[in-house]
Amino acid sequence: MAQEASSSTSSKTISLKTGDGEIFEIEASAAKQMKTVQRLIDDLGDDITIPLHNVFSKELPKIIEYYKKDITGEITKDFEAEFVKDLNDDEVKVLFLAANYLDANKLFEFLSQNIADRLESKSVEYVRKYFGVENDFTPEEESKLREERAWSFRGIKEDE
Amino acid sequence: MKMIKVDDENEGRLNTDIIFDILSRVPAKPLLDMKCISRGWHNIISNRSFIKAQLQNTQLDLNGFIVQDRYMISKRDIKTVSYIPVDSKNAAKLVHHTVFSFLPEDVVVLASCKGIVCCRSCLPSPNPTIYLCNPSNREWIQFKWSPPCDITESIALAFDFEPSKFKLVRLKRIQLNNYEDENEDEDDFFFTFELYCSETKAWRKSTEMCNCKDDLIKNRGIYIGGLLHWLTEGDQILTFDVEKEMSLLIPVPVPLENEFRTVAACIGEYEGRLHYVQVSEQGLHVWCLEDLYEFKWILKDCKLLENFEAEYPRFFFNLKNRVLESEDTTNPWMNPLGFKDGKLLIKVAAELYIYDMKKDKMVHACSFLQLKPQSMSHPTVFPLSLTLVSLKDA
Repeated sequence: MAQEASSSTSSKTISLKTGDGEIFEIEASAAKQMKTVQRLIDDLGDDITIPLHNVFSKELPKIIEYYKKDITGEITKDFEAEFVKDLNDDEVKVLFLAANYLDANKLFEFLSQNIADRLESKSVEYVRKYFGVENDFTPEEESKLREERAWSFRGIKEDE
Repeated sequence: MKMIKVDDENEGRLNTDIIFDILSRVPAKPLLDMKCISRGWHNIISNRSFIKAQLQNTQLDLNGFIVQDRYMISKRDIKTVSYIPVDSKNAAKLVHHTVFSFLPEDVVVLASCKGIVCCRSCLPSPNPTIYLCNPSNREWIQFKWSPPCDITESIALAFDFEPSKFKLVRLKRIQLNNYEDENEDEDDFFFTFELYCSETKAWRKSTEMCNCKDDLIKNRGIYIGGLLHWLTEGDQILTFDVEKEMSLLIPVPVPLENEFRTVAACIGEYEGRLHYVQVSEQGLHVWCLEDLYEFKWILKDCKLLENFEAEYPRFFFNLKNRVLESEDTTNPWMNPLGFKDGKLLIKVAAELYIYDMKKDKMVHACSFLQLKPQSMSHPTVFPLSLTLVSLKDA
């Protein structure tokens, strides 16, 4: 069980354990793209299973799928479109938070943009619920804000 | 962009930094609505560094057209300003009249550039003022409009997103009798340029003059890539390089056959380039200026009047004949008024339509009466995009 030299990590796999106890394998070069994982590897060594408390078995395979493509340089607009096509808004949010926790920059940027695109056409009420934000305006303040911008207010209803 | 170190407390929560990142990728229009979500969000979206990030991550989209009437000859201004939104979810075609009501007085709109609007006091006025404002956040700055204040003069805005750096270019038409000319009755007309620089906060006359026999029509300057363009009555587009202070006359793509014909044309920006839109018996033509100094125009879009008639029989009954009949009058039956980002505001008889060039779709915008018209001449139209830019940072 000799420690392999760092120069030959390209074929090495790292074991990741999700918060709900499942184990997934990922190539060391892909793990490098997730700074949190890399930090844990640096601290704990690359032979043991890396615990990821905040990522679960539903999201991790998708994240691994993304970075598998990334290390072979195959990420295209089409791939990214396909990647999020069947995900609903909440699933994207969970994936995004996981990418944030893992410090996975490329995925973070991509999902942030995807969420922004999805929110463009949503109502104010929907966005509030999505981010779990409480409305601390009084009804008078809120109606004044809307009235001032009546000429450009989109007035999208939540069920549209 | 900051990466957030998630500690136990923040686990799984969308904190301010994450929200900042997502929102900075949202275009201005939905973002302005999101200001109502909470006080915290209102603050994030109004924050200076947020606005800077958002400008870098997003593109400006055309939101609507500002429309204002002008008297042809008068010493008084018309105070009504109308606004026609481009995408209206409302079935009732709403025309707004209070977009500029946040300003201290009634104004005449002079220019619209990247979401910032330049306007001036209505004349006669005891204290003529120029305003630079952002209707999206109801902020404005003002400065004196130095005399002589001519009701017909054109002032254009050169703005490149940086609120502290903008220029205004004031165009005046003068007449110099050229006695040395063989034809002693011939008067020479020139355009003169005066610049206001935000950094010096002063007006300065430019040494540049442009000899042009034609006056401006659809009196507004369009700023694209450091250059201002104005349409004239004749075959030419007056162009002014704001940095170099040099002027140029660009011939229009299709020279006018008949000098006395009223031009049913307008200019506007699309994909960073100057476009020229013309309606004639040959149809609607949209040209793009591909090379400025070579005067090279390419035809981007072309639609026959017969096709408009066939596709929209309710709107355009007998269109081609009507256009032909009106060709020698001062009132074209089908008149393109404003163009930006592939969308054209067009007046046909007493109705206004918006034609989307990219989708080849024509929608009815409103009736001309909804604009509360007060003069016989054609209104001046300014495309407006929404922006978060704060002029208070100037």
